[in-house]
Amino acid sequence: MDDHAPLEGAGIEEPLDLVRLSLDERIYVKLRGDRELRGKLHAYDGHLNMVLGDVEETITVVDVNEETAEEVIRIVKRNCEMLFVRGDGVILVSPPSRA
Amino acid sequence: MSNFFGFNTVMPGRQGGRVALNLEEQQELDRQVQKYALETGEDFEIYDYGETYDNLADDLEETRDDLNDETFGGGTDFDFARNTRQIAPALKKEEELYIKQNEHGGARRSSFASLWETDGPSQQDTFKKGLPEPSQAASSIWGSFSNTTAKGMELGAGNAGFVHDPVFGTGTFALSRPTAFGNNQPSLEEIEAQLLRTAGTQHQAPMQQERKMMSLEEVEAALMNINGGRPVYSEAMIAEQQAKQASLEQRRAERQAKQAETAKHNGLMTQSDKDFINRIQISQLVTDDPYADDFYCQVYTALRNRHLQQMGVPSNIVESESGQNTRRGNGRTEQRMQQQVQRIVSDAKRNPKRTNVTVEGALGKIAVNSVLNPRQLLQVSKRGSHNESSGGNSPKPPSPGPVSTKSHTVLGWIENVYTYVLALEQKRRQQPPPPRMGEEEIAGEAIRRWNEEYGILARKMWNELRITVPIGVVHPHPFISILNYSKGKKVIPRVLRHLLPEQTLTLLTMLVANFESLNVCKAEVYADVQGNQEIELFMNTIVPPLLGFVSEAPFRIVVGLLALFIERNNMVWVARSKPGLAFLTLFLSRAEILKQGQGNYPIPDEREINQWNELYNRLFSQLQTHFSALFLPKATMAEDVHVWRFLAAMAVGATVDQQHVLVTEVREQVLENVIAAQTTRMAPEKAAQRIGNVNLFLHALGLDASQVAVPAM
Amino acid sequence: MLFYSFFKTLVGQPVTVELKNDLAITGVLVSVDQFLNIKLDNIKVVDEERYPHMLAVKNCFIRGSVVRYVQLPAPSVDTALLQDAARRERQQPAAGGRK
Repeated sequence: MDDHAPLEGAGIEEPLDLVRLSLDERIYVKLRGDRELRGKLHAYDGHLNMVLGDVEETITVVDVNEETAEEVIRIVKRNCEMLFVRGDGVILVSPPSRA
Repeated sequence: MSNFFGFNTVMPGRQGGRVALNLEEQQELDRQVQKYALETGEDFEIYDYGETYDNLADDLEETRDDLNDETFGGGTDFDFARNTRQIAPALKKEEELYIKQNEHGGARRSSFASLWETDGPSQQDTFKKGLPEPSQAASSIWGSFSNTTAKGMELGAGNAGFVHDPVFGTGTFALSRPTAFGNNQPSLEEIEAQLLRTAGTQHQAPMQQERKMMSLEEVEAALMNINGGRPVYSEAMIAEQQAKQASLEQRRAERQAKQAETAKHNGLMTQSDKDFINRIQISQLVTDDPYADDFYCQVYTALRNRHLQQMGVPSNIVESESGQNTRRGNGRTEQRMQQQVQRIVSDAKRNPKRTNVTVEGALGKIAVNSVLNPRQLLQVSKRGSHNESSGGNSPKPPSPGPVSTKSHTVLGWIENVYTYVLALEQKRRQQPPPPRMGEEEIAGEAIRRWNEEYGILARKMWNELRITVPIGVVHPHPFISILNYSKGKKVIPRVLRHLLPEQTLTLLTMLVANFESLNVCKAEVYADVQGNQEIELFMNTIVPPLLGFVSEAPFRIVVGLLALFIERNNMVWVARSKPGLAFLTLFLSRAEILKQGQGNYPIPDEREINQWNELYNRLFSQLQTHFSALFLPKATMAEDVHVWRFLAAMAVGATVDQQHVLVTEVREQVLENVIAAQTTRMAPEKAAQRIGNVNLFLHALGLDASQVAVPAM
Repeated sequence: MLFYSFFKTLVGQPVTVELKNDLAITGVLVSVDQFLNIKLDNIKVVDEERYPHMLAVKNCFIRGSVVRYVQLPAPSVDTALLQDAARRERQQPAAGGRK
């Protein structure tokens, strides 16, 4: 903070700067294990550890019917007011699909 | 201290082997301990060089370390040894001086070394670490001293000058305290000679000198001595003993060879050199900004403590709860530590060219990736100059050229504003204290520099807000686009703290001129929860500070702002929004106050009053026939208070005719509220609130709700 | 260090740690370290029927790397401050060479 160098032209220089743009905005996070999160981004770091607020988690579960070998896709949703997400499970982060 | 941060200044060979291994283990352990100590902010006394300082460096110019580069070779290809060799003669002198100063320390250990040396295998066994041979101790005190230092660390004690109580008792014996030797120290040679003499009475010598603790063997030997007989060993036992002794001998020989190998590097650095390096290394770990790594926790704890204190919880409880902050260690040491760090930090600031990860001059380099600073998983090389940053979202302010208002562009501006706001807030924390007696000149310089840097940051923040972008180039205006994001709204009160009054006025002017393009003016935002949150946010973040500004503005400015407001916006549209009404109410009530001569301004002259009346009439005529539409459909209780407040502000300045129009238009709402309040179904406090709202308006007309005749149902 | 700093303020608060193997443990946060390893006290496994062997365990140490989520008590999180902390974190030189 004491030198201004990192602030000069504080535009977008690396991918994480794009994540910063979404601070205090709702984001979409895709995670390993067919999980997705939508929530407001409150914090993140270089590992993409994150804290999200008002989170909706969507888990896609594929049930296989043992007799017919038919695949039934089931979607489970959960909500959480405040959630820390460990970065090693994160696949992608993006603004929500609205304009 | 020579083993500071596991940095062994003796440079042991890494060929493995027992001693080297132990050293490495010890180094690792030291590292952990130091790290932990730093982490928890405890144990400042560990870093107290003052105690180990041999005063050799007193002659060095410490306040200005400008010559360090020359002294230590500077640059990345740092060759300490060669530089030191060049000043070998001087070093030698210093070494001699050092030996003299530390003689008793070095001698003490050597003496014990030789003592154990002559003391048969059983003691050797219990004292595995091995100490230098007496011959070596005599020939190279320097060398043996270095080795015993490592040993001392293993035994939990520092080197000769170390302040900490040596815990020598961890072995099979306990040393008598150094003070027992008294001030009149015998020279090394004397001790050596004495030891050789006592060697004749082998087993008794250690017994008499060390009483506190004894190994099993010692106890056995002692018993044997008391009984006047030598222990009786079987043949096998003797053979075993001999084999043991042989292996010990061999091991000792190996060790000695290794020591001889490394001994040639001994003494390359004097104690002051080591201290100097220690200081550099510490300076990298200590920072003058306690927020650097722990911002959230520090500020959160501070905020919570303040909150709890306001609630009457004694502060000491809070303090102990947040235990991390408590520090032990004597204040003197800590103070000196801080002073030294301050000096180093200010020195680094004076020489900004040194931007390397490690301060040049430090031997070795502190790992870039440590626990404190883990490797980032995504690392993309930064593009060098900002000139080549892609044209579309170039942050060059305030270019009237084609400015796109894609969402990520606006978000980028907002984040830049945050960057400067945070930098400004940090600057304020580091504001230099007012000058003390006799230091005016230095302090004045610091304050001047601080002001300059602060000004630069404030200007950059101002540019980033894009308020001065001419109206009409892009729609909506960039500043309005910023305000259309919730975090853009949130940052405004923090921005205003750093603005000059004329900048605040410009901001307000720009806001007023573009008011209708604010998203909070759109009717549909009232429909959903999120929209209502945005409105609340606007009312809580942007309105209060600007209200504060307007409530101190002179009449001329208020007239100007309202004129602009009416001219540039569709009043019917804007007045339907809560923020729009809030601003209108604000201007009307301020003007009324100033007209009555309140506030610290003279009563406006006739020309100004006329100007105002003209404005008021324009506003009134635009809103006429729409007053009842200001009430939101399905208005619930308390949500229309801002409308009543506005009507009251209008009523105060209205002519009799205009008042009549007002009453006629909102008659229905007045009646509705009065009737609703009189029904028994409504809770008393809610009824009172409704009547209160209506009275806001009625009182401005000189009426009261109780005078309203309720038509029979 | 952002999240280490963050979790330190949550010591003493009830949290639910969800592991990558779907085991979810609720307990009082006792301590946390730089690796975001977590110590919990008074623990209770959320789905006890599936993990009966955890019934007897009263406190535990969780290696940071096996954590998927940590559900946090929202009132104990200062989101505005957290966002600022995240912004500051990004500004620090990547190499961590502060002075």
